[in-house]
Amino acid sequence: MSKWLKPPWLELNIMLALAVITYLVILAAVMAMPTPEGGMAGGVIWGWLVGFFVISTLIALVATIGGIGGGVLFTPFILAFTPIDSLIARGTGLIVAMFSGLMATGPVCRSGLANVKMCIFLCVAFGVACFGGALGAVVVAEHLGEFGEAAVRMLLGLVIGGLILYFIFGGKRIEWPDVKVSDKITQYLQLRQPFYEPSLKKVVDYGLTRMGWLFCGILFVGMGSGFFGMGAGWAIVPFQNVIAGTPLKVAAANSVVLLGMGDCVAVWPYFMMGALIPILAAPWLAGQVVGGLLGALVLVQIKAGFVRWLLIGLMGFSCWGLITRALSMWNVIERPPHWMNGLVLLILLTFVMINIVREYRLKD
Amino acid sequence: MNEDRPIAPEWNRVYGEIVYWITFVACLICFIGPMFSMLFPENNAMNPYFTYALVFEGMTGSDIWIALYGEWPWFHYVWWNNFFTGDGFTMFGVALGTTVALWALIPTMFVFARHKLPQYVLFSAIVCFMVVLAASGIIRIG
Repeated sequence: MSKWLKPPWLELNIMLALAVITYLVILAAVMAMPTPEGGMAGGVIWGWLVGFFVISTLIALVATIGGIGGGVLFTPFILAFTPIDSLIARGTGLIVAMFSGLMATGPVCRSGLANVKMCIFLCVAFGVACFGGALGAVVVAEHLGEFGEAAVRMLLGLVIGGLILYFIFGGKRIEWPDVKVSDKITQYLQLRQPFYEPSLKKVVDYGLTRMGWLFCGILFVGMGSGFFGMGAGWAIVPFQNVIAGTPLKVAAANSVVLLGMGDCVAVWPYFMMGALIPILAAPWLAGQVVGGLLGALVLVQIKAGFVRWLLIGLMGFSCWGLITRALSMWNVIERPPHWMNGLVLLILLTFVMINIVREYRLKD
Repeated sequence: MNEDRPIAPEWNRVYGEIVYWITFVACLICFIGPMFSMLFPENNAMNPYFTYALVFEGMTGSDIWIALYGEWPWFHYVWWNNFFTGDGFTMFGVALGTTVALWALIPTMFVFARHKLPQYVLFSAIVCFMVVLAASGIIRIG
């Protein structure tokens, strides 16, 4: 039997076929039916449905490979280019952040790349901290106002900036850290889990350490995630790598599993406030699932260096957004226009592409 | 590093497979639901033509529900009472997908118990408890 008819390609093909059929049926329906007075034109709705699905698929592909939630890319895009209410955007953003991770969970768990025990342990911290952070956002808004919010954004931006430098100059040591001795908490948690690494054609039996500190770090990240109402993969990956010595590919895989698990808690307060509009969320969810599966299949195969450079680019864009937002909230600068944000993203993507190409040209 | 290919642990496989297939089903629902929404616009909790118009007017979620559905009751009442409508069925798909960690962690807990890993039974139970609290609306923000 052809590999295209076997899992996971079979599921991918079913979803793509269903996407084509359902969107064609919707197109036929909207062309045949008149638009009710006061409603949006059927053709425009169809355009949004298909456009959302395609953009969502692309976001999920990039996000899964980088081990981040797509919310970091989705929420600014929606808030910048559409008049959609911010609560609906944030609720749908969490769907975007979690569903690529949920679909990627299958392949990365099956291959042994993700460490489910580690994810469950860290999810305890992440879930509690997300709620703490969201409550903290209310407190900060009430007591410290815009100055306090800007200070937290600046702090986060500087932390990410430091991590970017560490990722650039850390090189191979970052991709495959060599942990010789585990501490007592890590030993108690029995987290050792060797896996086969296709890009190296070897079994990797990695060591871990400082899980207690990582737990505290994830508390901090979860607080930030809940506070700002955005995904946290951009911080979960480097924290696992820097604190616990988790190999970068394992950290990216753990991150997608953890985001899928943790956002099952974080998304519900938004839904309970009425922020889920099913017909709006559906194409974003479907696109995340299709792109997430495709991204997971790529992630299992690619070199760790690719993940590292992609993360540097995505973290760089987050860093730019956080620092400029903080400075504009303090009235030091004007908020950068969309064209400038786009230009920064383009420069960072070019930088990433150049380094990935250079990485692939180097013979191991 | 050695050359033998290890099999992923049982808890990895159980958790991963359940999350994968439930997410897959949720995705299929999110293709089919909007199709029925647009085919039968009157058979919906909220008419999609007006829903999109109000979303792009910048109205809040609860205001849109009140304007088109008449009220914003408890989340799960909405999909339960509108299960056989396009958007009600879609809402069920989203709810199924966003509680998937709960459905996957329950059997995974049994796997951990069988492998005598009580600490992970406890951690899994805590995460399940948090999902139940959040999805039932007991924990709210704002």
